[in-house]
Amino acid sequence: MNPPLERNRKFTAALLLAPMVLLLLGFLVVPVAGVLRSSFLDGDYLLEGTGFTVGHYLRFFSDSYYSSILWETFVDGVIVSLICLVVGFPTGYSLARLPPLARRWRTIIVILPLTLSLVVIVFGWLIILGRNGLLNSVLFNLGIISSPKTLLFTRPAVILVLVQQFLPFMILSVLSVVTQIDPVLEQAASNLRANRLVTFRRVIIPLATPGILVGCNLVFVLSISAFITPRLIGGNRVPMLGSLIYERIMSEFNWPSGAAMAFILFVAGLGFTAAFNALAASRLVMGGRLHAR
Amino acid sequence: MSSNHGNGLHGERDYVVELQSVSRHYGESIAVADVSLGMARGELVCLLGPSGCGKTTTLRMVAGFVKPTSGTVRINNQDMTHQPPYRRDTGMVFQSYALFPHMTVAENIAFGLENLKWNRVDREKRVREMLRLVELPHLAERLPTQLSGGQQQRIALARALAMRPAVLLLDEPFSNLDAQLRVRMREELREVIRGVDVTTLFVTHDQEEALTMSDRIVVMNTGRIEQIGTPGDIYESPESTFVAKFIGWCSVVEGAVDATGTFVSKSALKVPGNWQPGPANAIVRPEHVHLAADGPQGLVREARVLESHYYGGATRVVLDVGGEQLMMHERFPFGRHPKPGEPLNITLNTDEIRVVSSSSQTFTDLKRVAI
Amino acid sequence: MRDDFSDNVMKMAGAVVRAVVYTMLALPAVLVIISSFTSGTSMNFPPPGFSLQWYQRAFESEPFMKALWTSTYVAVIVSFLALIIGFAAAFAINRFSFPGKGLLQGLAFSPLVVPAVVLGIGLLYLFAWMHLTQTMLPLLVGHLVLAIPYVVRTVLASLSLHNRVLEEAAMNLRATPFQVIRRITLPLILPGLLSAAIFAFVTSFGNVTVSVFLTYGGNVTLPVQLFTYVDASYDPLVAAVSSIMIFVTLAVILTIEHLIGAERLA
Repeated sequence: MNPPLERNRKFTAALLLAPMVLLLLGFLVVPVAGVLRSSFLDGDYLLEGTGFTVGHYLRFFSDSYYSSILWETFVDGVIVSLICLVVGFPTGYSLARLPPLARRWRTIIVILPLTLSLVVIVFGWLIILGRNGLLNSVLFNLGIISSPKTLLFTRPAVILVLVQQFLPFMILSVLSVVTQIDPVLEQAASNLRANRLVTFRRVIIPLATPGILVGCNLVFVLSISAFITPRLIGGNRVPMLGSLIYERIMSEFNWPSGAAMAFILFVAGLGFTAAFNALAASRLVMGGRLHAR
Repeated sequence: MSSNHGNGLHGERDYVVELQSVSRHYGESIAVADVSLGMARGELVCLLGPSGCGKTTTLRMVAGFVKPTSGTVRINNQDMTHQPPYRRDTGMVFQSYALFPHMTVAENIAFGLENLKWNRVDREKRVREMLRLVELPHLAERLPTQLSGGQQQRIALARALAMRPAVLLLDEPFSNLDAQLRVRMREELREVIRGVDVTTLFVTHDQEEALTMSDRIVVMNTGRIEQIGTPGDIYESPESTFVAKFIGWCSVVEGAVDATGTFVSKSALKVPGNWQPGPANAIVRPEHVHLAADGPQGLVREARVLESHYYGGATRVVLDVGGEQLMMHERFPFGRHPKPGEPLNITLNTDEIRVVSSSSQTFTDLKRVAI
Repeated sequence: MRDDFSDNVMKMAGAVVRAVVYTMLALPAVLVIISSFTSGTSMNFPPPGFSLQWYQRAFESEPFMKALWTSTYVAVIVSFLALIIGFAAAFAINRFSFPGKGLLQGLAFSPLVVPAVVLGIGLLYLFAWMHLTQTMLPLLVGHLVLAIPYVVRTVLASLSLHNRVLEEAAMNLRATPFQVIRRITLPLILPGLLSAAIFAFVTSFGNVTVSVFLTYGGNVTLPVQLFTYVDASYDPLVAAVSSIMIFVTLAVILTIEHLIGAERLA
């Protein structure tokens, strides 16, 4: 209706968006593309590769050592996500239904691990799980064990620490959907003679599914790309893809090979995110039928 | 449908606000269609209609928050159609009042004056003046959250009027108040507006508000103007069944006007007059129906009580009169309220009954007792 | 009767799970703080006695104090820049309609999807190629990229909760668009803006997963310093330094909680 004004608005919008777009294109998209490019370089050392080869990918997928690490990483990711779901859902649900005052300090506890530096959290777990740490001394004093056990450098320890790190993502995802579910629906269900279990299964969980999927997606992708925790808690005995990449690049300086693995990790993460999104979309479409069952 | 709402189409008269064939489309849907309206200086005009009839969109087009798809908006005889809201000489009281929560009452009132580049002394003087006008001078330093609903409304009014706008715009100003306060604020508002003599356009869906406050009422339906007129015109001589049904109680009797200009219903109810021949409806208001004993001269008719609702004082009775359903408001002596099935003799004051052509009507449920 | 039984089982199981969860979430931080006050020289638990000696050692330690300074410096600059860039973008996304808006929003949140290792080595590669690894620039840019999604999300949330009618009222009171932003929009979303800046601060201050690749040139941040230290050995000095980080983070969380309420942190 007023073309100069319209053009003006478009220009303003472009101007406002430009800094962010340039930043993310230059320092997110370009670096990721750089990782892809360098993963095809022929060579074993930082910035010295030339040419084009798919050898690093071939080696990764043909060597059973690497493929077993890839597989274990995925299995760990699934286990961590499932544990987070099972303990995170009830916590997130109850948090959503608490009065504001009671919710306050609990929310702060949930958020602390998210904002606190990862190293500090892992260090806290070293104190708990160490040879002379809290857990060993408690078990010893209770007479359950007679000598300190090695708790660190085991797969369960790594999974435990990953669960603690990423649990807040699950709790907050569940919290945000459950707050949108009207408590009246639960009262209606119980008025219709549903006990808590039935209410949960037939009303709350179906309605909370989008939040559950978001939470699982986040936890899974974060778990498979973890490298600080496997390195500090698991040592060399619990290798995961992330710590392997870190090792390859920061200790061995084998750049192209590390880049290839990093890109495999990136694609896996994207693939799973896409799969979760597709699942969420199909659930929304099929929702009616599924719930009717 | 053709009524006097086309007055002032060509801007030859001195209008404060003038809408010329204004329309607003949202994609396929039409919010406002071909609305023309002129407001004289000092006039209080009300846009009345059910929700979604386009009345708020019309108001927002005057304020400049919505741009018309076609047509012209003129304020003080200047084309304002493409001017942004802040270049328009309007003062608006929003439905939610929209007081700035981070400013005190005084700062809220002064905000518009600052933007108009008034100096500080004049601003402070005007703020005090406005607070006196709305009788809240002691609240100047309060924050909006510390005020009651009625106080917030008065501050919003003071803020809008402080700029001495050419036209005051009120968007459902009473909808956030409880019923008792609503009536009181209505009277107060009317007094303030009369006192400062400002041209006012206000939007409401409440017919009582419209009838008691306005000089003229614009009844809107589905984006179009149904009728413009004084409250008396609108109530006494509705030009369409919609207007009749929307304002006040009424029964709609289907029938036709014969060649002599007399309305005859299917059940032989006659309304003599000089009506336009063709299919038509008679609008029978409860006050047109009287008990035979105390009513004015007219044909006595036999009726049977269908429903009877006691309202304390008067009783609303739905009657079957020869196959037509009519309504009556009547005071019955204590203990003598009519019961369903009971026969009653009534007279109809046919001089006052209005007949409207039904050919242009799209309504099909006219047989029903309205509202 | 069966219903009552299953209800009770669920209630009890829920209570146990919640107790375990909250304990587990708080435990590492609590233990770090307790160990930092030990009078002993090892991380054995329980600590033999109380002392502040490790805090003294921490403040005397040059590498840690230098790292603390670097971390603070980077985090302050990052939160300032992230707020400006992120606010501009969030404002455009919230107020303007343009083609590809969804794509753009996706771009703004994409740093959350890219694994830290990938971003870290990608940036390292890029800055090595530009011969800039010896500067502070890699850290600043890396943290800025990480902070953008948090800032955009927080500002978008404030803008969508912000009552647009107030802006219409201001315009009706003759305020120009610029005056509306300055006098109505900005003051009213100020808590959201502050939280966004603080978010950016914590994201930068605590990050280790990307920083670890970007500290080649000797500009080591505190978390990276801790990581390399813990990787080799650990003693109560680490606990004291970690406790300092916990106190800073906790102060920040409480500030945001005060500003916008903890629920909206999520």
